[in-house]
Amino acid sequence: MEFAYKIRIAFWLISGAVIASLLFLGIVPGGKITYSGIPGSGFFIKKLAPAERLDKGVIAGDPVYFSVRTPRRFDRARIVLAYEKKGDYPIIELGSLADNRGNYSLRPVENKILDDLDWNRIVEGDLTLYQRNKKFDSIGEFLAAPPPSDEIAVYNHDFNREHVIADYAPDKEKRVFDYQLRGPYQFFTYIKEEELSFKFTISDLNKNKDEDGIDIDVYYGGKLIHSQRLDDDGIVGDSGRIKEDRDVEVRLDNLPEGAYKVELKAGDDVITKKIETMNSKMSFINKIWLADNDRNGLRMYTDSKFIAAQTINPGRLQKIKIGNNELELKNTFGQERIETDHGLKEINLEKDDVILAGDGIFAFDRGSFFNPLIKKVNNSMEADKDGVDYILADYRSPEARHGAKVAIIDFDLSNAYRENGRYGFLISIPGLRVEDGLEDGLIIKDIEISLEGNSIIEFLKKKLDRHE
Amino acid sequence: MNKKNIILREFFYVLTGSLVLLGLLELVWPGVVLAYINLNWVLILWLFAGILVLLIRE
Repeated sequence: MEFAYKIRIAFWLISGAVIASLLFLGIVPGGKITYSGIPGSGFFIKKLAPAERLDKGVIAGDPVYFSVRTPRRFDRARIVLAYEKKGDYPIIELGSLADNRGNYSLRPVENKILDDLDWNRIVEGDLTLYQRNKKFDSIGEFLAAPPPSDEIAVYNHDFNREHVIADYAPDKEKRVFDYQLRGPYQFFTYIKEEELSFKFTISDLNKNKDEDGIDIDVYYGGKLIHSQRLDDDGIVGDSGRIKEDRDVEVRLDNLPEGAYKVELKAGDDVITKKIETMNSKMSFINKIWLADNDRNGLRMYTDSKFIAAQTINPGRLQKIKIGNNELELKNTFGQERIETDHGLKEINLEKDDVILAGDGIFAFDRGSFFNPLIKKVNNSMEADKDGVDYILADYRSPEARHGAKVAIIDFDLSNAYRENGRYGFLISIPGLRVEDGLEDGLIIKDIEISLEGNSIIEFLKKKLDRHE
Repeated sequence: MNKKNIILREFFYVLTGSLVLLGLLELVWPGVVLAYINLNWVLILWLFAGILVLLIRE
């Protein structure tokens, strides 16, 4: 064979091997691959954002985001996060983007409140039961006959316990809540020998280009029992044109007694103008956006231990009275936060178009307030003041390795949201603020992400099974 | 033509073909090539190889 041909074949073999390797790394035929590095240092783990919450690479504000670029979908991820803490903030969490509405599913990285507890501990599998005074010998015993709900707190674990209001009786009176609400929200209602009945009057501002379909889901005992959808009003664009109001009614009969969660999933263009109900309890969970309706002197009730308020409307800067405290909204877009007294308190707002958020429940009147939630271990929890004697947690403390702390966090990515070939992640450090001027923060030393999904054989088998 | 020149010429031809293939692969499946290979450097290498091939011919 001529020398030139031999050389040509040799070069093409090398080129073929390089292309085959790239395809191998892209397809991941074994279904497992690991990427590692500091965010932004390589192609796969993208840099932390937004830049305003970073100070020379140190995370100085909460929350920050990064994404992981993957060649294909995976089902599970194990993230090994090595970090160094500057300052004293009790909770660090890592979340994966769950949907295109910006909801993250959070997992614990570090919880100093639990780490510092000198209570009795029982560890079984992923769960740990912390007891102020040892009463139960196993988690099974605790779950079989749990103590009263107000003595329990949970962390990263759903403790589905039936919430019963002892003296509840349906009053069959129609209620109309005409505080206008913007965007998504969720609330609890209580049903006993009555119909679950809510009529929502909806309007679409059409200020954003996205389609504004609305999903209303009803949950009982943590399980979805009903779902219905109201499609977009037909104006897909940011014209600001508003069509006539539309009503959507949710009616469910023959339901067992208990607390039900109703979730309205919608974009920020959607305004709920009115809610009509025959049910006496309606308590909004964690967050509510009182829409712009030129309304003054609004009153609400909450049991949140901290309240964060924000407005995007320059005409709605105001002082908000919360129990014995006062919170001043000084800047548009800036979020103001206040720690409040324990127990139920009144919120008095001068004007509407304010986003209220907290760690508890918000209600329009005292009568409709109830909180079926088991307490959660968060920054504002004080076990002694809150009367908590038991904590059930799915939590593993980080290990100390070579001067850094290392946490291992597992994620289920099978339903995670992936856009442009990227999975989104969030690092949440409640209480960490850039504006406070303190030199505290979190330094990411390394992120190792091990992804696991279908191997090529499993993929082909599934395809064949579908055809059969 | 001596062996060195033949090697250089063949290298240039194969690099040309490979560059086209890698470019197409990146177009079809974004990220699969750029995750591991910076095509800018490959392009510079290809340009140098091309110039050298032309110089040798003269």
